[in-house]
Amino acid sequence: MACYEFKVICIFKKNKSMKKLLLLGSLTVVLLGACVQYDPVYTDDLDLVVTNYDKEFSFSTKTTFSIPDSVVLIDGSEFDGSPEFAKPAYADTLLGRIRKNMVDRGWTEVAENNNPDVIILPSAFTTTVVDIYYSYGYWNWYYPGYGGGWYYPYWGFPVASTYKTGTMLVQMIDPSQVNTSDNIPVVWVSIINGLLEGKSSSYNRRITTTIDQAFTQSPYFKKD
Amino acid sequence: MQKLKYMTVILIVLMTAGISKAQELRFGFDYKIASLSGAQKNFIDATSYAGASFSLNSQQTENAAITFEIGYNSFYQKKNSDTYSFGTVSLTGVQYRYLTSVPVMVGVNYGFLPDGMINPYIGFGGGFVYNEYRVDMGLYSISDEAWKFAIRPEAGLLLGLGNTDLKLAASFLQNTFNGNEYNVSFFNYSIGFVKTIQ
Repeated sequence: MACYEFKVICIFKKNKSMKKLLLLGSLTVVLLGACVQYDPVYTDDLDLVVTNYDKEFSFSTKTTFSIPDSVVLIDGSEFDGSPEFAKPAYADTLLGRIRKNMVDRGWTEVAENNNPDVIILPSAFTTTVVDIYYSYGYWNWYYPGYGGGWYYPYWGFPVASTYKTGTMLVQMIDPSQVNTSDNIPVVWVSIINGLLEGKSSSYNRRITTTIDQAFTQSPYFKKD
Repeated sequence: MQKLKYMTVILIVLMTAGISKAQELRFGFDYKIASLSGAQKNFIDATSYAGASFSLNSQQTENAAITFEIGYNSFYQKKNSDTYSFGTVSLTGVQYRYLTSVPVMVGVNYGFLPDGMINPYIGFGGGFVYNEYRVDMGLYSISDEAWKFAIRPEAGLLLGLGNTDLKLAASFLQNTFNGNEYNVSFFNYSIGFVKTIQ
């Protein structure tokens, strides 16, 4: 039977052994492609620690900080009032680790009404999309009085995820730099993102590791 | 994409012209191991064991053949947790890095002993390569892709086994001409066969 198509296609059509070879080769290529999709083995492998800071802010001249005794749970809505808080089992680990890292770097903790140089505001959320600019409302219970909220002086941060994840957000604000709109600048932020899987002991170990990492990659905190 | 269309047309014309004058037409399949060189070695410093290619070889004279080849190599490396800084931003996490490279080449091979049991040959090819980069970090993923021109010198041996030859070859693929960004170069080591189909 005559074959009027492209010469190579005709050859392959007429030759059964070539069809098998081509099929086998194609299957090999597909299998090779499938072989290189590697999945993380441990939950920790998906932990991500992101920090950013205001390069105009003089961390070296500041010495005191204040931090609340609770970790706010953010659900993405804006409100004034008393928010929900994270379970003490996790919050105590988070807060303790932040305190330890600050003190180890030469900072002194003071009460929030004792004119701290910076205030550290730790929060957590599990919702899929959260605008961190909204988090001001959650903090009126601890540090009220400013009508505007927080703002990021020279940088912004997209915080959005479509995964079922947990995120710890630690913001450091400078209460002495209220601007004309009553906004307070956020001079440092740490975003720690990961999967919400595992036992509480695993959570606490990961919180410890990731908070330590956030400070390790922020060398500007350390006093000379 | 316009550039890709032109290049595809040129490659098809070259291949068709070669096949129409062929004394003999041969089909080849190769398993390919590859290792990156140059700047991309900093991106992935690992050997790729996931590679293969199909080829058509149109014998023009006893010694020379025009070849058309489409290949595939996938590189992967897991980077242990490390810190990456950009301006005032620092990120720490485990990175999974991927590079997929698909070369589409037309070239010429020259065999020194076409009637011998062992036929050493050299070849030179040119064409384009599709490179796709991907970095997974935490739960986030970024990727990019680039089409690049490429050249590829090659040397190998054909071991005669009737109308099918066993093929052992080494080649070096180098992206060229259009800037350094995303340029890829890698060594390929392949084993395969070439079978006469006409």
